[in-house]
Amino acid sequence: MLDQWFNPQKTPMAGEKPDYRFSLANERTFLAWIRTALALVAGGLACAQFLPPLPIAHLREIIAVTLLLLGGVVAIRAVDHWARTEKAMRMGTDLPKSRFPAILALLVALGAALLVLAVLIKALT
Amino acid sequence: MTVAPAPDPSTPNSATPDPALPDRAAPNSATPDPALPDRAARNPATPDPATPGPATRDPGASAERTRLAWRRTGLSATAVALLTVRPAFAPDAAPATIVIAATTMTAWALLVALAYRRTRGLSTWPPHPGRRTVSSYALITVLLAALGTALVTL
Repeated sequence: MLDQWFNPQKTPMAGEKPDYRFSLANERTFLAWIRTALALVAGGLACAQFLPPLPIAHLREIIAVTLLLLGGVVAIRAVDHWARTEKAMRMGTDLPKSRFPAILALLVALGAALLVLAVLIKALT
Repeated sequence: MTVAPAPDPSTPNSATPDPALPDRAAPNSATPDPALPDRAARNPATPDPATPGPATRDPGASAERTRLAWRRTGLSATAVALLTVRPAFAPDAAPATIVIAATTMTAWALLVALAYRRTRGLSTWPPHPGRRTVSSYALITVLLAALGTALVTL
């Protein structure tokens, strides 16, 4: 798997070199995912450094570590998806399908909903 | 689709290729489409799209957009690096915090170097596709996430 990550154009010796514009579009998609990962990491660090201690013990650290780990997962998945797309373009097969964007969106929505709930409970009590 | 009894040849229909598409250097673009107005005749300053030149090379500006995407990503990485380094400047910073900060700044310098190398690969013609640079960038991003986790859990 590491070899495919680091050299997706050479690993399958069969296949044709895709149009450079498709390769660069794939690369920009990868970079957009890396920025998403970096934003999650920055959010986690900002939680740990700028939030006051929350009423539940270690909740602040739990939120921060969750965001940081999510950022790491997004980065790994970004390079994996980039390599598989590059390989599919070379071989002329279908581009890889992925449920990851939907899962990430649901996780972020769930986190936001929990925070809204926590703020409401704190405001009412 | 309804078929018009007497189609006007000057009216663009859905079969006409979109003139906004970037593929102006297509080999058949020298033969003018009769459905399209002759733009070259109306505007003599327009260069002949059949001759490859600096204006028609990379018509979609793919290489430049990719270069700018690398720059945006570098700025995001800089923000993360600064946030990771910040606690090391506290007066009572633990040695581990300082070690994490030093490692983070080394990783950040590597990211800048990788983006610089990739930008040079993009400036050639045709642009080189990204290989190890792309994967290394992702793995160093994972390293930044791990360093941040270590900083928070300390």
